[in-house]
Amino acid sequence: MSAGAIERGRDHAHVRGKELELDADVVVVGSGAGGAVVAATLAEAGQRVVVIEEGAHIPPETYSKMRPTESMRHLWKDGGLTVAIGLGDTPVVNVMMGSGVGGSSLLTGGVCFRTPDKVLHEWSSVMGLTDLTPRGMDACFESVERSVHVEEVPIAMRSRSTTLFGEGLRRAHGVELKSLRRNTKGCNGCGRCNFGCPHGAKMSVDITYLPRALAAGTHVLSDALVDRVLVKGDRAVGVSGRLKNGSHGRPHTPFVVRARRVVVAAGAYASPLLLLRSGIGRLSGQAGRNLTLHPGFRFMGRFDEPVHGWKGALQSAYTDAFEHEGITCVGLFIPPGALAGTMPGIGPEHVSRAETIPNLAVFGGMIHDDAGGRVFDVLGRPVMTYRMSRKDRSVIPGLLRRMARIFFAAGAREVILPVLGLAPVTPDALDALDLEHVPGHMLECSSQHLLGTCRMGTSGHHAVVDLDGQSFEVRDLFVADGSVLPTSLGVNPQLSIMAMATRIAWKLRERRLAS
Amino acid sequence: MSGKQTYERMRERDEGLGPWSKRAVTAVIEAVFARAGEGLEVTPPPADRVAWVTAELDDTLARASGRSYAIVILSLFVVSVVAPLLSRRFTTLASLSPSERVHALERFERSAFAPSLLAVKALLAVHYYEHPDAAREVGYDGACMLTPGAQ
Repeated sequence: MSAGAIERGRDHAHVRGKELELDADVVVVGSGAGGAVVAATLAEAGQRVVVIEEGAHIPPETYSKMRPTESMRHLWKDGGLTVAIGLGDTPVVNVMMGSGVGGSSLLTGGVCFRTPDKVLHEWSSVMGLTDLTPRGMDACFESVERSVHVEEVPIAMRSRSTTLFGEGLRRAHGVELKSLRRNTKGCNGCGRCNFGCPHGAKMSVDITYLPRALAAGTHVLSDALVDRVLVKGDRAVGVSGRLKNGSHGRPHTPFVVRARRVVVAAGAYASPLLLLRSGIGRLSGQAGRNLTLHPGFRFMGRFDEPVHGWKGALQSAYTDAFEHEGITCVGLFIPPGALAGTMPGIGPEHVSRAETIPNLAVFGGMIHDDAGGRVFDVLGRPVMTYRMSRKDRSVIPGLLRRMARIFFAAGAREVILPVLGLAPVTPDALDALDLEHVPGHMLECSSQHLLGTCRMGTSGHHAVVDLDGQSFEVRDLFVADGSVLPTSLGVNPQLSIMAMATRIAWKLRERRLAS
Repeated sequence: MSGKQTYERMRERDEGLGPWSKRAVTAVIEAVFARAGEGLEVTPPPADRVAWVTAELDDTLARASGRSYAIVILSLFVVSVVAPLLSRRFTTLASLSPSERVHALERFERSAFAPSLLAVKALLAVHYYEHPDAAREVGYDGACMLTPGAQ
């Protein structure tokens, strides 16, 4: 492999009995928001870095021309079909994650929130993670914000869909929408951020941190599935896995990366599984537990006027007016198929509803959840479960009513709630609905914000990694992605993940490498 | 065939949909996206569009993990078998006429089995409305989605 390059594991010729062997100072597992930041920081500090990515390398000039479903097939983990199984009275949650060089950063709406001060205060004061104060994290946030060009979305870029919701919010609650900040440069608001930016305007890590890492000599190996972290004594000494160069892209040729330090940054879904498969993380029993999803619900209001909600920034504004109830509402718009697919009705009834798409305004509501999820293996296959706490579950009926009333205040004729099989509701019908008794499995719910499965803490008895991101069980094994964030944030986590990865990378830069 | 053999066969598949599931998917597409016809009859979407959606879905499922593939196929099976039963028809969905399928699926959507229909319907709709003619019919003109790179 040449210096500072991306090599596709799928193109690697298989020679029987001969595995691919690489050496590095640091091997980083995962090339998303966490892994790319660590790789760039350490490579620029002169360390020899190898990044291993399970997904494919699809450059911007290719993914920018993909249709949404092509993007789902090539850039979304599992084609976007991953679900968290709802336990008890909890909905099944469709969980969306990226898969490819750049990870989920390719697919976000670009929303950048700093970790709320309230959350940092809980981490630093209540959980004993004393460095994680707003002041202590400030330099990390500033570094990331500079690197990915975080800017406020101008009001002029708001879609009519978002503006209408804002009008309803003002009339119903006397509150104004706030502008979101995003990692964009030159965005023209074409509204397809979730499928890979077609203009290179979203500053995802494949066009920010990874080029820096490559320029500093980092090797990236894509289409390579890491099976185990290699441990010698009490130290991590590399990783082993298989290149996806078998038939149909299945894992085939073995590879080994020997390294003086291992950084796992495969995301809150895959990182704990890798640790558990390597026999790590069992000490506390916490690896794979404490999963938070920040479950989201989508609401559609139908107006008499044409809305054409796809014209404007995909995500431009939000309100935290209901944060005291654990709710954040964020504007969005999605392709017609994704809207129509969740509309009730079959045949002519469905088609007539789909024909109202130009008249729909869409807004999302997300719940700042407790840790009720888990990722684990059953017979070698990953399973994700999620049980909503009683507190979180009790918020849902109020969220549904509140969002519907805001749309009605804006002049919507009817509102489509995220309840399976429920016809669109009018104001009168809303008052008559018994939303408190809608079973969890009849709610349509999705998530893009997985966190917490290798949480950071002060002791190996209740956490997986320490304040520097190092495993309590194995020296020179670090985790640097959303899985280390100790609790849910209540806001989109991209910036928090990158800031935490920056902090961990800065700590690693100061540590002497094992001889 | 043991469960493990079935699983391995699924993992090694060349395409996402087998003959049975292709028939079942076609039956669902023809019902879900049917327009009002004459009298009580409905008019399914054009055959070439149904074929296009089926081929796209086939490619998507061929790239899904064995577990997700199994969930979709299981949901499709439940929809195909249980939906007619709820309408007291002891046959598969594909054996019913398009208008009978519409009624069966309407009833199914209001039942406790609705989540399995959501899985199938959402997946189909994402593909279906990506077809330029289908998008145009519902008044969608988002050029950035329909012809990426054009803007």
